[in-house]
Amino acid sequence: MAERITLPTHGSYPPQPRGFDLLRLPGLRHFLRWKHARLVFQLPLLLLALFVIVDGLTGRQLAPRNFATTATWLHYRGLVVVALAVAGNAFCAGCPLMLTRRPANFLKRMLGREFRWPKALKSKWLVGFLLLAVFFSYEAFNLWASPWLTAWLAIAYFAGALAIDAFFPKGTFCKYVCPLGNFNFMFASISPTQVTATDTSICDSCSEKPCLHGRESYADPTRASGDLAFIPLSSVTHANGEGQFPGCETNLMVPTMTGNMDCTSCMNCVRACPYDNVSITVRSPARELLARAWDRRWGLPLMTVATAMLYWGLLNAMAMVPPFYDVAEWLSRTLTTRNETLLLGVIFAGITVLGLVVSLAAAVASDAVGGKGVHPRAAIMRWGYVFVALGFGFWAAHYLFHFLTGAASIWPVTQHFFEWRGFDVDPNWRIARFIPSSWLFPTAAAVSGAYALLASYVTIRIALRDFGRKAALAMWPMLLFVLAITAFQVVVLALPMEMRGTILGPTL
Amino acid sequence: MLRAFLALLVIGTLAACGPSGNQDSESEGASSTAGSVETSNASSVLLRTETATDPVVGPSTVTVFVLNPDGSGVSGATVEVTGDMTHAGMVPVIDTATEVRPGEYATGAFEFTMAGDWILTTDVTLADGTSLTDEVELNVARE
Repeated sequence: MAERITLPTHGSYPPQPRGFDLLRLPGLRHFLRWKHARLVFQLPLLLLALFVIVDGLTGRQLAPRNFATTATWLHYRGLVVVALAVAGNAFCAGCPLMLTRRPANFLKRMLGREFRWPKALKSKWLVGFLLLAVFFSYEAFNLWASPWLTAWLAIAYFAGALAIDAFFPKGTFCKYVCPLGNFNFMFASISPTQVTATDTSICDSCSEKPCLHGRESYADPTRASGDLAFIPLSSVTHANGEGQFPGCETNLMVPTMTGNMDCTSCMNCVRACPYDNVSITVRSPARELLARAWDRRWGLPLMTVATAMLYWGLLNAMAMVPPFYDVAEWLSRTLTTRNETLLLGVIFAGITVLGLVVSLAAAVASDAVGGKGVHPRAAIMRWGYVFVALGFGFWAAHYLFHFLTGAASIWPVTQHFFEWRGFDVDPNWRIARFIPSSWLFPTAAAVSGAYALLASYVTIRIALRDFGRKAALAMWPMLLFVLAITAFQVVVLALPMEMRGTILGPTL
Repeated sequence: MLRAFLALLVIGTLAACGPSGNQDSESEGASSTAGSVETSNASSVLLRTETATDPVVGPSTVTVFVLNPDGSGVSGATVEVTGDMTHAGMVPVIDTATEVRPGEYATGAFEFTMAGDWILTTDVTLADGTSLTDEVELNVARE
């Protein structure tokens, strides 16, 4: 059952970016309006997921030579951040997990009913917990070194999507559960594109809101099922065929969108809009961060998770540099335990709490200096977007570092997939790097620095927006915070890597 | 019901799939390991791959022993040593070992480029064309 949506009254649509519409590129609108356009992206990714599962379960259990670990921990992560930075949430657009939708509908029919997603879970807290669980498992179980566990992780994602969407309304998995999708949602806030309404006056006169609810169109009205709003084929601008065109599964209505949060880029809205009135608009990467978009959508839970992501990103990288192991040894001696799971838990909890406290302190300090008093909730909701920019910068720098280190290795790894299964191929394992190793650190540091500049710009604009004549004062605590975090990020990137399966002493 | 049964069957089959080991001989140990495989001519050839005790980041010599069952060395083999880290995408270190004594082959330009967990794969091709592989896991410390 779809959730109740409060539709905006006439004329209350929020401002949307008005940059170049990518759908004006030759052929793109026509292609995306095609009913099966999403499958074109999903099927190749499904094939890759099958390779991941097959090689992970049955291939050689050596991470650099297995498709599961290479494609997942190198290519998927690297290409996700590249796509988010230069385009948008491209990976949700091609998400193969959504191909479980038909089996989920079948199971739903077998069950004969649909459950409501518990109200207590209708926030981003669960997503935050699941993201933390994934990052913790990554370190605790050395997922990066285990093709077998990586394959099982992929299977768990498919099973999770199937189960959640079989029991609960479609879109529940994407919005409330999927850690991958919510990573993308959060960081798509810095993406340079957004789905918008081309002309909101057309939306004013649209009573069915098919971008949200979907539509069905047939030349013969008697074929309509009645499940969706019926729009006669003759009324559809640039008609894109007969049939059912589902609306947004995460309950977004195009003219009300102030950002990319929860937008899977599935382009259902592009196909469902009978007036061909949806655009993919180019915008400034800072726009959503300055629009207070999350005030109206998810609020404090989302901002808290997004802030924590900055520190989980740091931890994810720090877990492979020597000082991390030194700290772990010190902690082990201090707590007199060699239990690595416990130590890792303490480290995760400590860094999460410390990070949130430091971020909150910086935000409150800026507010206080700017004369807004001490209101932690208001402060984090105002300045939290700065942490989002910083967080994405470091995730991108880290993932890009690994991607550029070994992106080309996908070729010998794919060859090895077939060699392992008896084909006569001879992989050339010398193929790995995309760029010379001497470029790796400068490239990663430049990415981190670029998003530090974005964070600084967002800081200054927020200060100018909210603090009037005290803007010059209010921005300084946050600017110093940005500087300090960026310096720390660059130091982490500069440290020599050490990849161990345990945090205490040698693994082997 | 049939579909549900098939789904359970698939899940059960997958669950039974433990991590598959190396199809070749696999060795254990840190600094000195041994493995043996049967060759195609029915004789038994022993492979032993050795590194320095407590290896550290930097140049290192990997020594591979190719031995007959009686302990005598097997000459004329082609030996290649590949070092992989346990993280995907890391550039492997590949070096050819040359024969320094009958049955004893040593690398000349092998280098551990990073601290952490390493897996050495030794690929040996005997004079008669028989291929043998050995795998050694070890931990490399910082300098």
